[in-house]
Amino acid sequence: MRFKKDLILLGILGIVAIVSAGITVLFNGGTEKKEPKLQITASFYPMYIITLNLTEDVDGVEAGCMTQNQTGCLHDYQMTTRDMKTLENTDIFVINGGGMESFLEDVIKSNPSLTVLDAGEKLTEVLESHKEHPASGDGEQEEEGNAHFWLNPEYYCTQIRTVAEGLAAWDKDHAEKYRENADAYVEKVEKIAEELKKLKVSSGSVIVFHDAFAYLAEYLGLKVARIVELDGETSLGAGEVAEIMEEVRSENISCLFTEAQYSLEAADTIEKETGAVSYVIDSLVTGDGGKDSYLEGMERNLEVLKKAFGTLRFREGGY
Amino acid sequence: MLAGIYGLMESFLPFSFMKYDFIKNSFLAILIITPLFGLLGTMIVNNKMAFFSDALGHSAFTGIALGTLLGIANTDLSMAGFAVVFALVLNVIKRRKTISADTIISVFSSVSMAAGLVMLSKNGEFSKYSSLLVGDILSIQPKEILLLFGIFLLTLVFFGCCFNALHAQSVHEALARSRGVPVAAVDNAFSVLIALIVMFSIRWVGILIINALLILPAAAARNLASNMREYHRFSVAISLFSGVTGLLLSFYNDTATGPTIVLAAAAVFFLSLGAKVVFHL
Repeated sequence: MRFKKDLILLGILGIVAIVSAGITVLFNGGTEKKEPKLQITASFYPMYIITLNLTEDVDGVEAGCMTQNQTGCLHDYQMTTRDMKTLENTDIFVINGGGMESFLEDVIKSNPSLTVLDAGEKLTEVLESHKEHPASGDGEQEEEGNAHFWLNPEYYCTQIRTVAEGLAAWDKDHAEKYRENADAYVEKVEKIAEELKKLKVSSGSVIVFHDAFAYLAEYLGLKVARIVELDGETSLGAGEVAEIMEEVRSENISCLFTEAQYSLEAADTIEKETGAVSYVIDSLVTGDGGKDSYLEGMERNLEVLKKAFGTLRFREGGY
Repeated sequence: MLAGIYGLMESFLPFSFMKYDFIKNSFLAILIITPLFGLLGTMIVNNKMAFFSDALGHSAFTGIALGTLLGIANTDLSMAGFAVVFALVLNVIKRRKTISADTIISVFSSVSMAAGLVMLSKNGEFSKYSSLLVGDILSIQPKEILLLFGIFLLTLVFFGCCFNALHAQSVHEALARSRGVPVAAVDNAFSVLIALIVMFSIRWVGILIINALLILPAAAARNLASNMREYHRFSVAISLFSGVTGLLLSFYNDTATGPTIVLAAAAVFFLSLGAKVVFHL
């Protein structure tokens, strides 16, 4: 009798094991790929776009991204088994730096041989200055710093150059090609930067709903009155919404920069009650994976900003 | 010593996934956590404490929040400390029998969850800890595995000395007391043990699923077993099996490990339920 029960249990476990194996085979039908000579993996989307542009037409080099194209910002990103596997097969890991990749320590611990290329290594001063940004909200991100460099085209170009030099040093055979690609890409970015510069103002304040936009605002000469930290999980407290409304009124703020990635309800409420207009800006952390998605995203932002600045000038009395 | 264990694993399990150290670590962790949970789960199910262990998991947030508030560097300690206090206070109130046990547990569970969320959101730190909800066994380090192993030994010792008392109490509390079993003390000790185990494994298993791992193997084993020995043997076996299957499945299919393990255990549970009906066990 006891024997029979053991058999039943074994049978059950066997069924589960077979079904599990079946599911696995079903989902992984022969997707083994050949490994290229040099595998470069970017930590997330903006870095992936840089890598993609730099490695264009370079033989034997494969550019990949650790996270999915729709992952967005890496705030508190949780690594998955897939990410760990990707990094095990990676030669160079391109990161944004500035603390954006909070999981980096774990990565280095489990992959001591991985070469990490920090695109933000020349931007530490920028990071420092943004740590003590007088306008930043409650001071949470002061500890971590604001690492969304890429939204300032100038810093973005610095990142492109840094990555290009890093790759050139690692893969000397293609060093020239990396530099050429960097030149070509920087030129394209600078073209949009010129357009953005035309919008530059000498005064005006804005409330941003993502600390990333602080960099864009800085580039445009706007004062950031407040950075509202939103993330996927938490909602704004009632007190904070009221405080923002007061600030909008007292500082005569006409624009709110919000982001589609996060909830817009709070911005809508503020818009309704104060008459300030909210504009959705793309923080360029998601996309379709095309190599021009930074440029295209910035173009769209440019259009939105043109509209926003129309209001700003109106408010300032025919600026 | 670690290299030796890794070497053993590589020679006994010559699969492609074994070449990754993080997989070896989580494999080892699962080899410790799952039998532990299987063993503990049987007693939790017997003593009708399923809801209690769930509430303990929820108190993890408050433990962490208190730790950050008091400036304790290792929030594991504040988490464990708070859970122990939580378990003991809950036991005291429960034994007064002014309100029914499930009501008081529910009150405690929601209060501690809400208090934790309030404190963490005040500092704007909630998102930092949201990984606690589903856990992350892949990031476990050897030192933490050793800690789990220590708890595992502690649990074996506890079962060695207190199993009969605990069992007597789960059958009939008044009878147990009349036989000289120190009911309150055993109950408290068991609650503290659960608190420690839940808190030290919650980072790896996650608040939302830790209870499933405690309850499912034991519940499945109960479907099949007809005596105490079978009950424990089956529970440990099912737990171990689900853990390893879940880890492999999550590795090959890129899914979160904890929930995958729970699904494997759930599959075993439903099949055992079917077997119970079909074979008239």
